[in-house]
Amino acid sequence: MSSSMRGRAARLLYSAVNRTIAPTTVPSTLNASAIYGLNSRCCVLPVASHNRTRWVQYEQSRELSSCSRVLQQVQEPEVLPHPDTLDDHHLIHMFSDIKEELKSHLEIYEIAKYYFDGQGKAVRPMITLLMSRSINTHLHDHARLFNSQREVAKVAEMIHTASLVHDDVLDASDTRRGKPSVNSLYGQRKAVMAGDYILSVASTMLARIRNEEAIVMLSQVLSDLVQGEFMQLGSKENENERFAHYLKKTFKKTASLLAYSCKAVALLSGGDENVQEVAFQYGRNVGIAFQLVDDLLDFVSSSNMMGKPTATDLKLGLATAPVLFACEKFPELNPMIMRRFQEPGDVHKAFEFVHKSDGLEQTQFLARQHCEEAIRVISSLKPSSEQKALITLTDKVLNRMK
Amino acid sequence: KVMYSGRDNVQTRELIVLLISKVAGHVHPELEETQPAGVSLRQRSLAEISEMIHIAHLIHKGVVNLSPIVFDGTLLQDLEYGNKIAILCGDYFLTSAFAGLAALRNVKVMELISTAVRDFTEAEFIGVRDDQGNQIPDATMTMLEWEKKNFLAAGSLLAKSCQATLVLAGHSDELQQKAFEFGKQIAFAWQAYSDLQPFTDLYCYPPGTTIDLTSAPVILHLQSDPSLLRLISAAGDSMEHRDFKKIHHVVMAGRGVQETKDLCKSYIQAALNVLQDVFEPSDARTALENIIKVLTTY
Repeated sequence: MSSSMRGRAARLLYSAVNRTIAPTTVPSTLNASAIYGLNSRCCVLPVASHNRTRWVQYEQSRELSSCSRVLQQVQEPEVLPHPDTLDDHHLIHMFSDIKEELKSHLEIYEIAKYYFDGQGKAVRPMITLLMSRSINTHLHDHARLFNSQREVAKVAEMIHTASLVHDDVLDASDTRRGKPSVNSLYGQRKAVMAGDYILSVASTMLARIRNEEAIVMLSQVLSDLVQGEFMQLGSKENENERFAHYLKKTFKKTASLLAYSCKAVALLSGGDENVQEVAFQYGRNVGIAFQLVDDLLDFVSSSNMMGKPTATDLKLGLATAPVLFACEKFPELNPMIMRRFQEPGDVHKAFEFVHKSDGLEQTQFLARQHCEEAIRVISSLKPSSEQKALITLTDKVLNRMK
Repeated sequence: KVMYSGRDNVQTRELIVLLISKVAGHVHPELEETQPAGVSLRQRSLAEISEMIHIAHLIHKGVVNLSPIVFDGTLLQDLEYGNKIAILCGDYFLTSAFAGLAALRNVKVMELISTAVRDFTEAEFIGVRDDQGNQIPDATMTMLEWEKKNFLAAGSLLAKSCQATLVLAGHSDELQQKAFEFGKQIAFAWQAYSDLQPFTDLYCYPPGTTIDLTSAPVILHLQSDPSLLRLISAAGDSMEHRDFKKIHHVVMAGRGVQETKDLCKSYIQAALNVLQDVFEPSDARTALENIIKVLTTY
């Protein structure tokens, strides 16, 4: 039995390694700073085959160490999650589960399930599931998921999608994830109702978890999301306040969901405050890094992705990290920020300023710092392949191109 | 679109939920931190949450479908801004309500109210609709469908809130069902009353004001006189530009209005029956009865 597991792991390894597009420099350890690489064009995990072998050996030793563990493998015929496959099969099941929950004989089903077709990156549930397994390994020495943790992952994705649906109406966006947005297809009213529908179904699923603390945490996320949206509408006079305001807004809009999902699964695994804090800080830091990179990409994404850099944030009147950093060098940005780039030529000028300054580099640097912090906290858990996956994930966050 | 009657400004949902809480009392009064009025803090919170969700829904229903083809220039900008505010405000109320629900720390209540939200969002998709989401009547609509739609759209929230507040008080499933039934009948009575307004309150609603063409009087009229449908479908797809004066005249001349009044009375009687059969007489019960009876005066 154990040999077939080894065989499967080895085969997975082989296919995973062959899937990586352009293996870059080979770090001899999975040291955080070695991973980042200074080349921001790198869009692939810099993984070396001999590192993989080390992981397989590690897994083998875990396997053979005790009878009970072997028995566990029998009960759990699923393959142990491999960092590169990152729970793919769980995620696919998750989407069909979500669609099942949303079922209705009315048109709303068509609309609600529109974004759950598996095309999205599903980063949040992926992180949630990886975190669940890491913590389960840390606390209980097994990586099996509790059902409640699976539910949290689903709820996280649904909350995220509901907020996307409403955001697209608010921003009057025509496209999302490469296809027409819900509001452009069905109109604003139906889009708003669909968002509410998804939210209510998520809330019902949340209630079924039956853990009051976890429910309170995730409902907190809902308030944070809306508050973040309101914060985006306002602006601060004082330059010093502006960055703090931006970070706070970023937490509420993006990081909150990740942070609290991680914390919730830690709680559901029976983790004490320290473990929950580890999970929370990981989620929070990765979330902030994610948003920073997003804001950066708005200025640089190149022709493969969108035809030309979109500068959507500027056009919406939003002053994101690159702009705020660029202010230091070009104070003429300040009045532009205050009037939310409404004057003709503002968007173009601001765009130029950002590129001329070191705003983009500073943003990348800040994102890297958050990732390093995330790695630091997660490293305090017992080693596991999921933990490593969470570490390499931060690199993916930093270096993604879309 | 549908006219909202003035009563919706008085937070009556909240009042009904609070009163039914008081009427039902608590199974173990000493376990709950009750206020002198006999209604616990959690029940008060629930009543507020219920009202907040109702308001959030009303606000979200106010969102307008915009397309640059129909609207343009500053009008489009203003309407877009209005939509933004509507969506954000509605979201704010809704998420606050959900956070409040979580804080109640009762799983059954949370499930009940979340499914109520699901119900009324689903209700917006029932039937064929025009560009702005107004439902278009057809010859096959019956009161059964009216009930089904209005249960989802309005009844579910009130019925489930009444049930939920009894859950918080520790009452049996049977009593919870009675509260549910009570809420449901009141919601129907309320809706029937609201549907009658354009035909009974000619001061507030002079002939020519927009009427919901899937309201009870219209449906009941259509059942005995389908010719009205021709008048309704005459002017194209939008439900907002109709000859409402004429429609009003036709319906007033028919039996629809009287039948709706009778229907309203029967819902009220059903609600009163539940109240009187199940709960002991008390000041709170009398107050509830009086509120309901107001619905019979036109």
